[in-house]
Amino acid sequence: MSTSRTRTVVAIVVVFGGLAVVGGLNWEGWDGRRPAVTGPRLLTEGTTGGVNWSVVQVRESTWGECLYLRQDGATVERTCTESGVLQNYELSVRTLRGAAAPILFGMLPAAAARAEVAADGGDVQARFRNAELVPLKVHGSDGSRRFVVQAAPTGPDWSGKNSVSVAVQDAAGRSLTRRDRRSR
Amino acid sequence: MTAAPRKAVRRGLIVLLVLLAVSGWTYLAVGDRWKSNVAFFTLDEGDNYRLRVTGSFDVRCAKLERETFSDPYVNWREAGKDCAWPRVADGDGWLAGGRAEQVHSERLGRRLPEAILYGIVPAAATSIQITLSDGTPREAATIASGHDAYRVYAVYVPDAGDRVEVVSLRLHDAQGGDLLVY
Repeated sequence: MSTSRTRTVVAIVVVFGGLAVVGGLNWEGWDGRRPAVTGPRLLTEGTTGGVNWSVVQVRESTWGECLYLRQDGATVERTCTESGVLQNYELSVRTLRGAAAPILFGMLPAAAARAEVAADGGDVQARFRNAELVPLKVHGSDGSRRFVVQAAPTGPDWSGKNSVSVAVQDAAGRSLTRRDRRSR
Repeated sequence: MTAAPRKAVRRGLIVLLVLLAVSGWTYLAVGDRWKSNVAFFTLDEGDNYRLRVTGSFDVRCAKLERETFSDPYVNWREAGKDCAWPRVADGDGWLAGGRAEQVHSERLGRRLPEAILYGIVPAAATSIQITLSDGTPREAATIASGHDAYRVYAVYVPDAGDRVEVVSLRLHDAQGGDLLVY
């Protein structure tokens, strides 16, 4: 092949190759091919204070498996991991639109079998607790996320709270939360 | 073939290739001006938004675009998109999506207390009822998307406030019944 013909072929490849690359990268047919949320699965649904809610597990492209508390097609609360510091776990307290009483929602460690909150929404450690512990239903089975979703215990102390401490135990009754410190 | 006709063919081919290349680059540079849209909003401030349907094969998205004047090489910039809602396993409906875009005026250089609510819904949904945090339900008819499985919606809310949050989204079919969404 002569030099001039080679130059011509290279020029054509460069020009149309560039067009193809730029056009391909800008092609709107790629839209929706990599959704941020996939595989939604209904875990449970219920009614609190006359208001319907549901818990849906999804896979987010950034955060992995997450749980959504949904009401009327909108996400009220989203969690992708247990909430808390140094094994002092917490649940979110939310009042659904149109509901009088708040609802508790949050993820627990995989080993969780039992969970309790103080009836007044206060601390669950014996040293600081001022009210009885109220047992909560732990949802989820082996291989899926453990979580709590249920109405808060009745009482006036829950208004204005965004989160509440929760005591968590495994199936053998061992505490998964930080143990009470001894008095010095 | 003699030398003269061969030369003419070669010249014609080169002209054709150059024209093709110029057309391609021109389309990539300014082609977004001529893309079809399903909804168009002109704000009082002179800014324009449009909703387009994108995607390919069985996947479609409702893409909201804002006209821009600051970039000489971009005429319409993506403001956001809502893609086909997934079915919820172990349930009987869709995981609702939908977007709320706070309007931005490039001419004024700031966000406005206005919003455009938009999204893509299953084809059975002929209307949608959206409630923002102000508690007022807003009903809107959905628009054909050009794909049998989907319809789209776009609602302009002039008094949405500085922080727009959708607290309820309900779909209605042609008979006025509710379609289940989570």
